[in-house]
Amino acid sequence: MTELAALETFLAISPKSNEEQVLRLLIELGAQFVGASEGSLLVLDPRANELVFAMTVGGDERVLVGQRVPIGAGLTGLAAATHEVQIGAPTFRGAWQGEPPGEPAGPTEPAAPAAAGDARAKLDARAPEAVIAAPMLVDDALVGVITAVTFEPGRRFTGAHGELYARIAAVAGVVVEQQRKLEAVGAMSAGRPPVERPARIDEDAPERVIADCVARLSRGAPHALAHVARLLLEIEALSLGAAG
Amino acid sequence: MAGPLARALRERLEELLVRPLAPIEVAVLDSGIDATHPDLAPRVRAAFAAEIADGRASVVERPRGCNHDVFGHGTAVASIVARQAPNASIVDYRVLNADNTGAGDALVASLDAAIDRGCRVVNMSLAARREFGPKLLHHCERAYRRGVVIVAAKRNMPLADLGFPAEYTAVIGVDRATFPSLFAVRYQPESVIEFVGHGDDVVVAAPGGGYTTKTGTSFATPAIAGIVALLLGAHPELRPFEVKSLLKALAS
Repeated sequence: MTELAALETFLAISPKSNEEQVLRLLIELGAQFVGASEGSLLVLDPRANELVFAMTVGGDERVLVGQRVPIGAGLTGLAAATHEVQIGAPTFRGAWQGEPPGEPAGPTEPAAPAAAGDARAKLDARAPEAVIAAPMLVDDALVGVITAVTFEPGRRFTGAHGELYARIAAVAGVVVEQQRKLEAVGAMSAGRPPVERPARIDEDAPERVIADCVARLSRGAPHALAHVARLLLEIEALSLGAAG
Repeated sequence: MAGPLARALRERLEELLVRPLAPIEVAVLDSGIDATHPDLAPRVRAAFAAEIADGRASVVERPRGCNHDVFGHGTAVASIVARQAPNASIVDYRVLNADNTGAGDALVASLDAAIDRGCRVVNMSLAARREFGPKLLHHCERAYRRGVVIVAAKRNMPLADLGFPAEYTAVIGVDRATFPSLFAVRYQPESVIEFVGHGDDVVVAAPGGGYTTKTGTSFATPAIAGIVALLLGAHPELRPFEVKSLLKALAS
């Protein structure tokens, strides 16, 4: 998936639109302000409950864009899960067990980032030294995460950097929100129902999801129902055939 | 606070802290804890998880000595409490799910369970959505009357509120700053969030046995919760308002 495809699919932001340019500018400015080597925007794929790298500045777009990060994985996934800015560093080995409580002796033996470290680390041979991840929210609902990464040894991001990123993410959220409102207004004026972002599938109640979807299609695009019927019949034949 | 009263309180505090400490149970309401981590294995006394069924949250006991952490956040938080307070036994209440659903109801149910269990300190390095505010307030008041000290994080991200339950007066709300030590405390009477702890670039445990560094109010909160566990360990009869007063006396 390309950058623009991810933005358009999940945020309805068109290629070369003002919104796309504003988001890119925000990512660039944020990375510059905090001295990050790389800044990225990940968008939420609500069906998969994963984040998808949609835009990156300073990193290799060919490697990053389209990569997925599960919600909860690493600092980026944690920011998405908690709706809070996360600031930290990858996991390292070190021990102060047995010492009295107080300040730790600190790391002694740096190691490659583990799964609990930022998922970004898996995508690049270089291990990030520090990461900021700030959630983008619209009406308290997650739409994506923006990140800053540095590879400079010993470098750390501060709480002030995190606060700045929280504000940048808030502005990016407003950009997405405005785009959605414009889309809804455009749809209303064209006499078609506004596009509904794909809802997360409740794995325990897929029948309801299908029924809701069919109901929406009946109202907004009845001509599509024949395709749905054919698709369902094909899936049924495949599934029951395989089971039999 | 300055002057002879502050001096007397600090001297009294120092005396308290060298006394033998009573064991204190600290509930950590978070993403679960990796109880296999060497720092936490001997310290996690019990583990629970909030489960949502038919729209209702219930708290279910989980096996001890396992990794229940779905995000790594709770392990980080618990490791700070463990380091701060050698008398703290940690009770793991997992309220955050991998898909972040049901967190509000899970939080309320787990808080209730921690109060009923008799945990003296509850660490909440998280903030519930505003709609859970009234429900949470009721349970925080109940905790206050039962002598349970709730320590809760301010939101990192500027939103319409500073975070619930951190805003409530029955709770010790915590903001973060850079201090030279995890034992440093600042009191800010002009703010809804009265206390500030060290929460920048804190070395914490990570699931799987390693360590990492984290910055945020989530990590300043257990630093304060650890101090509260020490105070209660020295004087278990202290009530939540007295603990607040002692923290204020201790503050710079």
